[in-house]
Amino acid sequence: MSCQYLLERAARHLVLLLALLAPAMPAFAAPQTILPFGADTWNELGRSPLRPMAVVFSTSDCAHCPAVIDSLAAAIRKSGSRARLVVVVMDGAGQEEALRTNGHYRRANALYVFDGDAMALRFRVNPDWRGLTPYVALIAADGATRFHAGPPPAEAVRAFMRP
Amino acid sequence: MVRTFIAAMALAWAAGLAAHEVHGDPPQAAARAAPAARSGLSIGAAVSPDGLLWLVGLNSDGRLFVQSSADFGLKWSEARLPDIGSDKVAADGENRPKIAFGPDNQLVISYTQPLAKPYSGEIRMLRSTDGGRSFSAPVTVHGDRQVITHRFESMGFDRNGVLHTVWIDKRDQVLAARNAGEGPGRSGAYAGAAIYRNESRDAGLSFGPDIKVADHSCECCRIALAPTAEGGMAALWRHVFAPNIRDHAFAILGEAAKGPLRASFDDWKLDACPHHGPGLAAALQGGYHAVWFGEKAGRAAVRYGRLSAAGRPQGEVQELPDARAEHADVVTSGRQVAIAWRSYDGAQTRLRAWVSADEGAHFELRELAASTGENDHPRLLATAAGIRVLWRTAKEIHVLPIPP
Repeated sequence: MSCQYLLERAARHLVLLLALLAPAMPAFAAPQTILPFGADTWNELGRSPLRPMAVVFSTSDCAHCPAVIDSLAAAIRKSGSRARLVVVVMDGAGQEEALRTNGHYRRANALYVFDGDAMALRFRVNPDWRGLTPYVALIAADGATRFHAGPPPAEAVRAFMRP
Repeated sequence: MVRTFIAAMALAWAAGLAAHEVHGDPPQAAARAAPAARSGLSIGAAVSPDGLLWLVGLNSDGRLFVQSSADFGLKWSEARLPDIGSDKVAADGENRPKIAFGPDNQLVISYTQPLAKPYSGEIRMLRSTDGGRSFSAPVTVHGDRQVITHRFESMGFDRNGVLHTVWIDKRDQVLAARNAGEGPGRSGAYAGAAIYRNESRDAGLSFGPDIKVADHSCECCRIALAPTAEGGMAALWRHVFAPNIRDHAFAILGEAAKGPLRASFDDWKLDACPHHGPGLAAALQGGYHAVWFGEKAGRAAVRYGRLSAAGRPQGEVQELPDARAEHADVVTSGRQVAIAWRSYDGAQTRLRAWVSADEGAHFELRELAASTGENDHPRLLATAAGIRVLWRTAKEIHVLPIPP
C-alpha cells in the first residue's frame, strides 16, 4: 500500500468529514484576496465539501454579469441557505485593484481570476459552453451540476440550494 | 506509526484546504497574488499598397508592435514599437488592435484602451505617413469623452479614401439610465448599447462628428465591415431586437435614413454576452457573404448565409460543418469564398476552412493547422497573391495560403 494511496484515502475521508461539519462553519467573508483559477480549480470546487455552490463565470466587459451575481447573492441570503457564491473573472488578470473594489464581486464568498487558455477551461467545465458570460454552474449538495447561460431560472436556483 | 504520521499530514492538508475554502482566503503561506496582466494574442493585419503584409499586436511584454513581411510570413521585419505613452491596449478575443492603409499609403492603427471604470474605454488611433518608420502620438477618435463604453471598434478605408471608424458606445444607455433614476451600470431603461461611427477624410488626421448608426446593439461583440459595390462601407453587428433577441443588424454607413436592417433570424433570446461577433465580405455579383454565431431552436452553431446589397437574408442559411466552430471569419477574392474558424476538441485547437470556388454554391472543408496552446481567432485577408489566413498561437504566427 503506497504512501500516496494512504494519503489520498485519508484526504477523502477528511473531506467527507468536513462536508458533514460544513453547516456549522462560519459564512465566508467578502473576498479581499483574489485567487488564481488554475487548471485544476474547477475540479477542486466540484469536490469541495462546501456544497451547494453557485459558480459564476464572468468577464470584465459583461454587462449582464453584475445582475446575475447580485441576484444569486440575494437568493442565497434570503433563503438562509449555506450555499456559497463563487465568481470567476475570466479576463481579470491585471485588473485586481478594480475587481477588489467592485461592489458586485464583493457579494461573492470567493473571487477568482482566470489567466490561461480559456477555450480549454470552457471545455473542462462543460464542452457545451461556447464562451457566453455569465455562465453559471449550480452545484447542488449532492454534487449534481446544472449549467445556465445567463440568469438561471428561479426554480433552478431554489433547487440547487436544497440541502 | 507511519500511517499515523501520514494521517496527521493529511489532516493538516485538508484543514488548510478547508480554511482556504471557508474563508475565501488561502493560508498566508500559500497566498498568491493574481497573475500580472498577460499579453493578449489578438492581432490585426492588412496588406499595404506595395504588397507587404503588416501585423499589429502586443508582444510578450505587452507592448504594441508592428511588423511587416514581403513574403507572407516566411521572413518578418524587425518589430517596431510605436510610442503610445501609458495607453493600455485591449488585445484579447473580440478586442484586437487593427491596421489599415489609406489611399496614399498612410498607415493607421486603432485600438481600444480600457479605462479604470468598469466597462469603460476609448478608441485610440495613431498614424504613420512614412511607411511605418515613425508614428504620431495616439489620439482619441470620438468626440464624446465621458468615461463610459467606447469599445470594440472596427475601421477601414472605403474606395474613396474615407476612413470609417465604428464602435460600440453606451452614451445613450447612460443617459437613459440617468433619466430613469437608475444607478450606474443599470440598464433597464435601455437595451444593450449603441453603434456609433465617424469619418476621417484626411486618413486619421482629423475626425468628423460622432454619428449614431443604431440604438440597441449587443455590448461586447466585434463589428464586421465590408466594402459596398458603390465604394462605401457596410457594417454587420450583433443587435438586440425587441424584446431581447440577439440577432444581427446590417447598415450601409452614411445611409442612416434607411436605418439598420435585420440580417439574421436565429431568434436567439438571451440575457448574456456571447462575445462572438460576425464576419462579412462583399460578394462578386453584389450583396454579401456573412458568418455569425447564434443559437437557433436550441442549436448553437456558426452559420453562413448570403445577404442582398441592402442586407436582407437571401437563400438558405447553412451551418458550418463543425459543431464546435467558433469565431469564424469570411473573405472573398473574385469567385472564391473562404471561411476560416477554430475548433477545440478537448486536446487541441484546429484551424479549419470551408472554401468555395463558385461564390458559395459549393464548399470544401480543409484542415489547415492545429495547436495545443492558447491561440487567437483566425483572420482572413484577400491579397494580390490569393487568400491568406493568419492565426497567432502562443508559439508562432501562421500565415497560410488558401488556394481555390
